[in-house]
Amino acid sequence: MTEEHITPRKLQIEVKLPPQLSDQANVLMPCLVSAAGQALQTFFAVFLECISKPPASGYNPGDRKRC
Amino acid sequence: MSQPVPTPHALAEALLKRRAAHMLIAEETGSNTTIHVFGSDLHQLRKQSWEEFPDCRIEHHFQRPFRPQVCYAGSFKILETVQACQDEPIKLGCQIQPDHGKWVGTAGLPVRYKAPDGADIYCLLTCWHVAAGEEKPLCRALHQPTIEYPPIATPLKCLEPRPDAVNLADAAIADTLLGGHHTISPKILILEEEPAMPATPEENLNVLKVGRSTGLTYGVVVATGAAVRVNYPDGDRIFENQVVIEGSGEPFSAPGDSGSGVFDSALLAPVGLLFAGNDQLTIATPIKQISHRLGLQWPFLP
Repeated sequence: MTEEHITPRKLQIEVKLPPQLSDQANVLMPCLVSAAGQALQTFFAVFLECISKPPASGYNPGDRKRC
Repeated sequence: MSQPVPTPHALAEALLKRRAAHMLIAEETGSNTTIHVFGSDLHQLRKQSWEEFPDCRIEHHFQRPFRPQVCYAGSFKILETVQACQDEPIKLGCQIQPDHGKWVGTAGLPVRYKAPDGADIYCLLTCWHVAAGEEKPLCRALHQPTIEYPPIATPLKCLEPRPDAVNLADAAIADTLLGGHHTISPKILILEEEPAMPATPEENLNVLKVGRSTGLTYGVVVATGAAVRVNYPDGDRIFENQVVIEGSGEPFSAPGDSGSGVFDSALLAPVGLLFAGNDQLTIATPIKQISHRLGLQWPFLP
């Protein structure tokens, strides 16, 4: 087999989303990475965790007395 | 026919070959180019040939070596605002000390780093040689003002200059999120203002800085695109495309001011990161040169 025949293969998974989540599927797809290849039940657990996570970034200044 | 002006990189490459020269600056004067060669041993300098610049006029100047502006801890008194302990949120321009490091420097600028996952990480910008560990590229924590007080940031990423290579910067960022809160303010100490968007330093620009050793000082950019040799404790390092600043009536910096942000004094736009100097001149790296390589985003608060 020559080198050009070796191509990366993406794992295709088919999932049916509940209707209330289907609109957000595109936005949240990066979260699928850790769930790929696992059972559908696990996928939804990760999926829901991604939805419920607070924003990863945001400036939140402290007001502690240090001195 | 006019001569091409040597690039900052060509100047730095030429500097790498010669131990006696500390700084090279190319100046375009009409259709001619003059290369200003600075060093502390004019006799040695005059013996050298500058075959890389065959059509340029070479001028020699006396200049002491540039040293990174690090101050060893132990004998200083914590009296002034910039050297005192600060309550949160800490305004930058203040003194910091790395754990396991017997020196102090300045936490210069509030910056926002865009992490690969897209998250905004609110950091302070200082010099690599301030945030460096004794044996590792970076220390584990930065304390303010000294290690007797709680840490304020965790070093995250750096531009570490290498000996015998042409370097662009000596810089480091440290994550200021500790215990769920950011320790720093977007404002600069003494100035009590937030920096504007970064700008490119140009010759004759009036600048200011707030640093740990000399506080608020004013100066003027006397050269850009300079190649400089900086005398680190473990050996010299060459930098290209640096900014040279002269103090207005008093020295612009002193040991301990490493890491200070240099601002356009009219707009308070960051133009450089102060990292070296001698008793006459101060060297800073253009802020955009650092920003691009460290993945910094502006403004600090989106």
